[in-house]
Amino acid sequence: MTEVLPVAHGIVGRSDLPIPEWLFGWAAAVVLVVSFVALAVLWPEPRLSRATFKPLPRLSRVLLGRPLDLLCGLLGVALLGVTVYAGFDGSQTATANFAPTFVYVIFWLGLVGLSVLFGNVYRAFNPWRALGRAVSWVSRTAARGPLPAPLSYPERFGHWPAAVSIFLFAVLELAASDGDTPQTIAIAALVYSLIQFVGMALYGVEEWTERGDGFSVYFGLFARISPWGVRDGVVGLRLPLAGLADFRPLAGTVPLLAVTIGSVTFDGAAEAPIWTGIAPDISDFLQTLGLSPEKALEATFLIGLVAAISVVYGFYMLGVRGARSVGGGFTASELSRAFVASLVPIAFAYVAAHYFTLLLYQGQAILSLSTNPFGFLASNPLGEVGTDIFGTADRSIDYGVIGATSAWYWMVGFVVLGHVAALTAAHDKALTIYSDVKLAVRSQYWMLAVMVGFTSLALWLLSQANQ
Amino acid sequence: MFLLLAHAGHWLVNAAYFAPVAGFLGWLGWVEIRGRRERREERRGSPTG
Repeated sequence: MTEVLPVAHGIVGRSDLPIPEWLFGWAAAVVLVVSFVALAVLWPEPRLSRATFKPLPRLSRVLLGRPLDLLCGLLGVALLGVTVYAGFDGSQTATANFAPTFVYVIFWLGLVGLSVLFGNVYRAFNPWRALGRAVSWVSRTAARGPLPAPLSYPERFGHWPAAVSIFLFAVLELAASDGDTPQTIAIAALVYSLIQFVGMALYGVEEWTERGDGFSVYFGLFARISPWGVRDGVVGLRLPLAGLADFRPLAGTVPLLAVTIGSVTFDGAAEAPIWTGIAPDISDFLQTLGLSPEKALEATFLIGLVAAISVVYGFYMLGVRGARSVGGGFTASELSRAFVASLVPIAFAYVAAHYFTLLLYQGQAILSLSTNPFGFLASNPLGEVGTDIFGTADRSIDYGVIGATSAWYWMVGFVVLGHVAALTAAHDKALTIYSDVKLAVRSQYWMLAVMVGFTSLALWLLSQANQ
Repeated sequence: MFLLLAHAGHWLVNAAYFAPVAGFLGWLGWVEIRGRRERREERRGSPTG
C-alpha cells in the first residue's frame, strides 16, 4: 500500500490511442505467435547456449580492478548509511525523505534497468557484500593467518532465502500500512543487514551473496539478459539472453520468479475494480475475527499478494505440465527448472512496463531528495535544519518529460519485447533438452500459451491504472 | 442476470484482454484431444498394441 507516488501507475487521458487498449493485447498475441513460427522455422539449433563470449581484458582490468571495486563498495555502504540515518532522523513524510524514493524507486526499479543494460552492476555496489569483505579482510589481518572455513551452503536451501527476502520486501511495499514510512524502511534495512551478516558469517561472503542475498540474486537474474557478462573473471560481451542459457536453477528459483512477477501483478491488480470491490469485504470479515481495522487491511492485502503469486506460479506450472504431456520423459520438476530462466524476461517486462512512469517521474525527485536527505525545510518551526548539499533543492518533477500516449506505447513495447525474449529463451532451451526438434517445438506450444497469458495479463494490469 | 447484463460493458472489455489466451488454450486442448484419438486408433489398428 505504498503511497510514495501518487502517479506511480498513473497514466491518465489515453483517449487518443488509435485502437482500444484491449486490441493492443490481441496485436501482442499475434506478434508472439508470429515470433513462435519464426523461431520454429529459423532457429533449428540452440544458439544461446553455444553463443561465443568475447572477452575484453583491458576493460576488465578497470571494471573488476580493486580500486573501482573499493570505490563502488564504499558508495554502496554510504548510500545504505544515508538511507538508515535519514530514515530514523529525517522527516517522516514519505515524499520528503530520501529513504522511500531511494529504496523503492532508484534501488528497486532503477537497478533492474541498469542490470539488463550493463550486467551485474549491483555486485560492485552491494553494501552488504562490501561490508562482509571488509570484515573478512580485517579478521584475516588480525588473525595473521587463514580463518576457519565457512560452513558448506546446503544445496536444499538453494534460492529459498532469496525468494523469502524478496517476498518480505513485497509485503513491506504492498501490504504493510507503513511500508513507505522512512523509519520503517530504516528498520527493515537494519534487519536485512543483520540477516546478511549472519548468512555471510556462516557460509562465506561470496557463497551467501550468490545464493542467499535476495537483492543480489534478484538483480543477478536480470543481469543475465544483458550482453555484458563475466566469465572466468573477465568482463566480455555475449549475445543478449545468452546469460540465461547457462543459468543453473536451484531449489526456490521458480518461487523467486513467481514472487517477482506476482508482486507486480498484485500491485497492478490492486487498482482494478475486481480488487477494490472485494477488498473491503475481506477486510470486514477479518475484523469480525478480531483484527483491528488497520491489521485487517494489511492482512487483506497480504492475502491478495499471496493469491497473485499463486496464480502466476500456477499458470507457469500449467504450462510446464502441458509441455510434459508431449513426451520426452521429463518430470514436471525437471521441466519447471529447465524453463524457469525464460521467466526472467517476463519479470523484466512486468517491472519495466508497470513502473516505467514511476521511475521517470518520481526518479527525478532523487535530485532534490539527495541534496536534502532528511527532508526538512530550511526554516522549520521545530528547529530542524534543511540542507542543500548539491544545490538542487529547488528541482521539481517535470511531468511533461513524456506524454501519456507515448508512455503507453513504451509500456506495450516492454511487454511485447520481454515476452518475445522469453519465448526465444524457452525455445532455445527446449532445443538443448529435447533430442527431437519436433518434440521441442511441440513442447513450446504450451510455453507459448503461458507467454500469451502473461502478455494479456500485463496489458490488462496496465489498463487498470486508467480505471 | 439483469445486473450482469447492465454491467456487461465492464466485464466484456476485461474479458477481451484474455480472449487470445482462451482461444489458444482451446486450440491446445483440441490438438491434445485429436492426438489422443489418433494414438487410440493406432493402438486399435496395431496387432501388438
